Amino acid sequence: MSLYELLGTLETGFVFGIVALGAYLTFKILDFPDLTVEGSFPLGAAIAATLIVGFDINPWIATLAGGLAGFAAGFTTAYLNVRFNILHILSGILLAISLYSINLRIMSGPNKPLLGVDTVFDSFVIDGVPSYIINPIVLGVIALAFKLGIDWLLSTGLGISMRAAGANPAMAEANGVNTGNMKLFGVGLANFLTAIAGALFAQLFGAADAYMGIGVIIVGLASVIVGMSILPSGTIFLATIACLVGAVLYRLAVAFALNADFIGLQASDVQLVTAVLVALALIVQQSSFGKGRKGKKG
Amino acid sequence: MKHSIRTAFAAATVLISGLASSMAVADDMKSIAISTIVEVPALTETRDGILDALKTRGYVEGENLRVDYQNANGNMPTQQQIAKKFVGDAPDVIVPITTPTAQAMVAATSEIPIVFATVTDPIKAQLVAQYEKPGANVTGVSDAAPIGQQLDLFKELVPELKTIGFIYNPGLDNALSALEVIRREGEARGIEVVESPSPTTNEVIPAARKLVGKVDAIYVPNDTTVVAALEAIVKVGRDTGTPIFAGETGAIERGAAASLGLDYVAVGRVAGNMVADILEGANPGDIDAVLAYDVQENFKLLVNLGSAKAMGITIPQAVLDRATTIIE
Amino acid sequence: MIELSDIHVTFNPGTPLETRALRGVDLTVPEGQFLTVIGSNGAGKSTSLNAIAGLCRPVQGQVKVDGDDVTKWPVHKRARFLSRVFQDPKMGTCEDLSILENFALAHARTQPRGFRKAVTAAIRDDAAERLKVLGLGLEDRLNDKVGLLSGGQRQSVSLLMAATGETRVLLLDEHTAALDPKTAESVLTLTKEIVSELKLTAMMVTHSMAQALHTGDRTVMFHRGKIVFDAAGAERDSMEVSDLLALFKREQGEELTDDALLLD
Repeated sequence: MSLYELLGTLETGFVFGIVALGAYLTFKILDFPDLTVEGSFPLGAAIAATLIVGFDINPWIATLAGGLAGFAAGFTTAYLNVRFNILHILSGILLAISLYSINLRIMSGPNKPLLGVDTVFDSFVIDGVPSYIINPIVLGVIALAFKLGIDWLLSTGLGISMRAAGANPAMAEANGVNTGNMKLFGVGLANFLTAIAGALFAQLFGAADAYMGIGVIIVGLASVIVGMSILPSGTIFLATIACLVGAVLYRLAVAFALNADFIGLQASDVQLVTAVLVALALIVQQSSFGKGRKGKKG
Repeated sequence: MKHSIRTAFAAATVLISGLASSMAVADDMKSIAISTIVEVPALTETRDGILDALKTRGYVEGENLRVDYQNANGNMPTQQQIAKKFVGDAPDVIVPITTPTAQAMVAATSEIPIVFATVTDPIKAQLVAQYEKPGANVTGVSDAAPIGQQLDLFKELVPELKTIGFIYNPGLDNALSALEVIRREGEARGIEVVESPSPTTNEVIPAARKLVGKVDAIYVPNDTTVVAALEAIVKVGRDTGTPIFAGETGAIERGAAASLGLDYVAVGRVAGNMVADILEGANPGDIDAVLAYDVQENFKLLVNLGSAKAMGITIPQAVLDRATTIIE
Repeated sequence: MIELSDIHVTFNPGTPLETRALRGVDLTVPEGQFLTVIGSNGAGKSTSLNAIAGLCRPVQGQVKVDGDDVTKWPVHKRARFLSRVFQDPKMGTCEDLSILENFALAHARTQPRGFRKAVTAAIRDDAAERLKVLGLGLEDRLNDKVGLLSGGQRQSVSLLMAATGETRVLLLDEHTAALDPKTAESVLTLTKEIVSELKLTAMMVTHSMAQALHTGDRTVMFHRGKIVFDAAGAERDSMEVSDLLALFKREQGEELTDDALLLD
């Protein structure tokens, strides 16, 4: 693998690290399996692309706007669940399906090219340093910033309420936590992150595409699972690191599959490789410890 | 805990040793990297055409040509990683098949020559600024529907064809592009195009009915919203004896009367020849990008006899002789 | 302080599983009273607690706490002045959070939660002081995850958490039932201390007639969704378990066959 490809893997890894943080929030913290991300990832991309290309909006603002749209999508999913008691998985699927059509409308087509326009990465052009070195660093910093933000949030009064709402909703309610509101905010926030990741990815990829969301949930979950099985994750601070690392490892596995003609693997075998990787991680998690996981020292 | 770290190290070792031993390119071999977003017949045929043309020009895979072919399986992030891999491997030419694949490649490099194939509208996708001498490192062949040739076929089947209806979703860019093209091609042939917009699939049937009696035939472009209701349009055609023609060949087995399509192997050959030119020293910016239908002579011709009869079309023997597929 | 007026609670109305858990309950608990509640299974004692806490909505009737009509209030809204300890020791604390974080959660029960850091030095000191009372050494293990504690320890922590904030009402739902006799005893003693020290209005559901008679100021007995017995003060002090049984038989003309009530 060339250095170029390795750095490219880091780029994609950090973008999906942000997605993994969102999956961590919903699946692990809130205990709310959220499938909205299949729709909110391309939603962020679609909004950002349309604003940048069609309305000449600053790419940072466009990316943020994409994120806010993602928040609205996640909020809606949680609202369907909290207010109307629709099963969380179903709510997420409903949103993802609707967002497909909505994204087509936003982009007036299945694809919106982002070539030759300003992207957020253009803010970091340094003479003499190629972008393929700068971009992973920029994305790494952004991913780290979001990670630290989540760490901080989960240590606040609001964050503890969210954690309790996911871990023991009855006890949380008895302690004054409005678990419904926690879901609305938490699922919204997770999809804010995912949409931002989508917007960033589109600017890397060169286009926003309505099919971009396919498989995002698997990647997010696999990243969280792999990361948290292999790395110590007893505290929130460690767990979020594990999510980012898991995402990068996942992308490395894909790169491995792409370069592995020596054992006959092709890109179409990526699904198998990632499934094997996730299975390995789960087996490792099972065999090392049963219940003692939570009190682990680093 | 120790166990999992051990496993991680083991996995890392495998990874690293694998990567280390992969891919040393021999200096005297040319190399190309082909990628597609998904594998469907049209796209694999394109790839086959590319390799076929290269062979004709003397570049044989395995002998003096290294070919790295990657299928992204519909997964954009994987496509992104493939793009990075290609650029890192620095082949002589990158050959992306389909629009999103091409976009990823163009975003990844402005130096390595790129020849795209089977991209519907390379200008709208911002791959090239114009077809003639695109000027950068990108050129290729577009598989835009051969609407002009299609209209010629339709005139053969309906000699008095003067007006043709066009059902489309005004919210889709590619439908609007097709409308522009059919108006232009229609004008050159003395055919007037009557639009009938249908923003959602539910409005397709009223949009079709509106045209009956006002047009000599109805054209269904490659528009996902409208094509979804194709069977309903076919029924309107059969009930009223209005010929229904389609822009994409898959519609014929679903009941449209006739269509003309590209031979994707031939499309691939056009791209393959461009690749060979570049391998021999040409500058991609100097090679005109082309529309496949401009440079092709043999098209796929499909007719549906049953529908044609119900729609009042008598198919001339000359057409039947040329037909590549006849459906009863 | 607590007022239940003509409360009717029905589960699964209109289905073959329809159960009328409370059939017209009137109960007034004055401020500062410690009330014990007994009854056989399905009598409605837990349901009455749940109605006060907000876990079930009555189909008819009113629940008032400290003058406010809370009948339609959600659980978390009532938590402002009302704490609960559950029977299952696992329910009262969040095992994924540390002891300290649990206290921070309880502490914020009566205040709006925001973006301030949850675990402050003040909360840490407060929690340590409260935990010292237990004599279990938990004040030195504040950062341990609650999941590591035993059932009895968790229940004690739940109780201490319930005493934080400006709680005015304490609801205890058979909270010693799942503990071994020695731990149950210490938790009960702690309960009495907390209630008297903080002058709380308390309702304790228990399956033990003896415990009911010897704890608090007043005892009510539920049977088939109604209160059938209510004694306080001197009258109650002079009663034995056998008296209760006789009283019950006289009131209802039925034999009480629930062994669990007798054996303790």
